[in-house]
Amino acid sequence: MLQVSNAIKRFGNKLALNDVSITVEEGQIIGLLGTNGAGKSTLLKAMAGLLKLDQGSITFDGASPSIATRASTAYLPDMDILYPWMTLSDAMKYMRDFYWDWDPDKTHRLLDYFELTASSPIRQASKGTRAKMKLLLTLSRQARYILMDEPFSGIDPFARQQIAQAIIDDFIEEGQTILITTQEITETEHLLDEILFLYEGRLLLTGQVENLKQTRNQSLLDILKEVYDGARL
Amino acid sequence: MEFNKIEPIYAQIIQDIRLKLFNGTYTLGQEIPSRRELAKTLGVNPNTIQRAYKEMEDMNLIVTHRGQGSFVTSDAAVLAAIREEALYEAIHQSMELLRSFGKSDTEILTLIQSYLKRGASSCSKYLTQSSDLVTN
Repeated sequence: MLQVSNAIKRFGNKLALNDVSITVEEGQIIGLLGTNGAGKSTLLKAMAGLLKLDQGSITFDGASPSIATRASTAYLPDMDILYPWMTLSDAMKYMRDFYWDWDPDKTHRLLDYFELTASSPIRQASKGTRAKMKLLLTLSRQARYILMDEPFSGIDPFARQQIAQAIIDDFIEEGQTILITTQEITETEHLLDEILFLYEGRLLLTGQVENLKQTRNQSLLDILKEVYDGARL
Repeated sequence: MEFNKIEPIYAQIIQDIRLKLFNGTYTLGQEIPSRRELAKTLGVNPNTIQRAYKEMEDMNLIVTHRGQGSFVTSDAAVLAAIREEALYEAIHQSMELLRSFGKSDTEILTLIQSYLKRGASSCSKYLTQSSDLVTN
């Protein structure tokens, strides 16, 4: 179980996380939703151990972040982690050398599924192809927690569909805990068990997607719009 | 299968299976896709499928045998009950629509009787056109 308690993070004058507390149950796909600058990426990076909170804590099964917790967490960043001078197979070798839990069989299946050529230079890859490459590198590790920062951002609907399917297929097999930040609410809500809706560093709404729809009889986007409008008043 | 964005997905899945049983796509006792298969095919979170299946099991609409798969009920009484419920639901929705036109229940009943007497051949031009669209 992943627990965030009273997290506060400042960047200069800006309060990026303003007393955020959440409990993440295992074996779920959680959507971290919100406007640009709401704090989603910051929260994810803090969970990945890439930034230190100013106040508050994050624990994995009760333990503070450590080398051990880092090993069980795979982080897919918004930015390109891949060095443009590498080919995909260079990047795969790099990851394999770095992580003990690299799964070569899964890598090959994903290569086939995404129809990627390992020898292709990353520099020449389109946005959609890079997104698939990033996902391949992230899912080829056997991590209990997978943190994905905007995996669907700026890619075409066809690539997005493939990526969503790959996430589902992997989740069916492995049953990990997956946290995804995304702007594409309508296009990804069918993947999500739970949502965390952030606004200006505060958690405005959490809930199981299916339950929210059942009680409010609205689309997820409309539910969030209402909550957002309420917060802005 | 297309999902609408408003109803919970698990409810839509249950509706779909009910409908398939109702219209004969599934026969009594027929095997349905496993939870995993359905999640993969539909590209939907498997926990949502799990919820749908659990509810259908509680309703006795489906039965899951460990190691064998999931099956639609073989109990004809259950099918009859579902069919009746679906018919009542359809009637209810039509009645609500007709009532919204300002007709009383007795007026509606008279209208239905005259409609049935007239028969399909003498339907208005508008209705004929829309039935052409349906058959094409």
